[in-house]
Amino acid sequence: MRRWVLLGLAAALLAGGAAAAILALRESRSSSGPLACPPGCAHLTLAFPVDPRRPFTYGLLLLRNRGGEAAVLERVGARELSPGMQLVGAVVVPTRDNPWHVTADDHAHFPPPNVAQVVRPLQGYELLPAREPSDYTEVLLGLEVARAGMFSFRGLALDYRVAGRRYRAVFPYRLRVCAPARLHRRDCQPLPL
Amino acid sequence: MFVFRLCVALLAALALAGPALADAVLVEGTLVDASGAPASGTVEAYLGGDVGPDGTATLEPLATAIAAADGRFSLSLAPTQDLADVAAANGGYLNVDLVGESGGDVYYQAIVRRYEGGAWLDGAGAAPRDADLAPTGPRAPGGATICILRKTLVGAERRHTAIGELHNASDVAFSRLTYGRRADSEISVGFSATGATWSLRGSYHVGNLENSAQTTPIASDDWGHRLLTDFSFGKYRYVNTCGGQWYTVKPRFWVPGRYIGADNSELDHHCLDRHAAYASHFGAYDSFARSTNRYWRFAAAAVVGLGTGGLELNAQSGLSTWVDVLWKFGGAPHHYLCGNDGPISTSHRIFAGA
Repeated sequence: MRRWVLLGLAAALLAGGAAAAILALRESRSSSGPLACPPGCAHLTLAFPVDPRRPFTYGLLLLRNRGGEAAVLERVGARELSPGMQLVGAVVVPTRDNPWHVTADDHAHFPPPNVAQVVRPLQGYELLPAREPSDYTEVLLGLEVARAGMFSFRGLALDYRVAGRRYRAVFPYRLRVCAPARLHRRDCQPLPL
Repeated sequence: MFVFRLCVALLAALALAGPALADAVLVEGTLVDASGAPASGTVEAYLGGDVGPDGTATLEPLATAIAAADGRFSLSLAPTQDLADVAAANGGYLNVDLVGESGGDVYYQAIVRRYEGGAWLDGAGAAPRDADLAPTGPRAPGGATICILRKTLVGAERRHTAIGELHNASDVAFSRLTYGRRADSEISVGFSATGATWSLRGSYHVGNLENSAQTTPIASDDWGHRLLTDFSFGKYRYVNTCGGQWYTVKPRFWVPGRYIGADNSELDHHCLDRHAAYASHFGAYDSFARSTNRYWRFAAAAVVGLGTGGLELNAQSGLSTWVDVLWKFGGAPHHYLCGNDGPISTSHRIFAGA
């Protein structure tokens, strides 16, 4: 009799563990949240020439809040960032406030002079739910390379929170820059998609 | 100790048993009659492969459903290894013919399905929408008591088909579109009850593998065109021994080749007016590339003969991220690309120029 009770307990423990594992998996899968790259998310790759020790701008990361509550941005990180290239800043601007609409890049400035007056720090920025089809907010990343060479990242990860819950959205966006600019105007090729 | 061993044995048995092949919903929908009212009847799903070397095939239903008085039907299908093999040869997609029957009417619809995560998804990877089947023609009288559906290839031809487009404004070193090595297009299926009048009834996915990727580079400024490749199209006659005959025109397979299609450069140079909300500015010597599975569906992508009088079929490419586009800009400080219905990271099309 005691053996059957133990067996029952073991089965219950196993079932509980399996249920917990399934719940944990669901939790991690759904943790991209309302700013996630949408289904069918395109893969982007960009390349351009830059000069060492001169901050430049990457701006192809656009955010759209598809949820019903404000999202508060915390930080953005570059994945597989090459040694010698560093992230020096992150600001945001609604695309409607950007004279170029989206600044894919600026090889020699961060932030670009034409948006310097309207950008806001990414950290703590409150992104409201999108209402119009054109409600996008651009993330402008400031980067800098320390020396001549080719440098890259292979993805971007955005940390943010909504109503106290934390999310991380990952974007399959790649960048390669080639320094110095005068030597790489023609041969700076993007990373493969 | 005994209990521990028992648990381990139980876990091992579960692990060795492997996943069961459970039925999953292939398609749900409603049969309606010519007036749009629900109709009772039957719906069968057939694998939409090609015919054998003799040009014919006898078809066995994959699944059968009965539509009740409210017209509702639901077809379920297990993802067997045989189906997985067929799908693998077509880029992961199954082409399925839905054939229905109600009263004196015949119904037909072509659908695309992909099995993923325990469910059948549509060609775009989304949960399938309901299929509302309307009659396609009267059922001819037949004398057999055991119903057999046969299809015969009665004609085939190779046709240029739009699989993409490129748009260059000024100061473009080059742009290019890469399609393949695997074809990745969803193309309309034409249907005719009599062979005389034709309509579009769903689509097939073409995903055959070829030896090399097909790249179309364009080094011209102020250039916007559709880009074409070839597909083989077949005209098939279906005969049901219990009554019923109809014809379809379907894509069969990709035939690599590169051609320039219709000029649509009138869509360019509107990134700062018509498409300003979705414009992106690029600097000197930038290179930008995108790979997407939300590509544009081209209307009249192919015009097929085969006795149809010129049947216009639609086509959508890149459903599995196999279509890549790239721009390499020159030394001018300002270049614009813009999406038609969203930023270039999500749009279905990309135009060029301010």
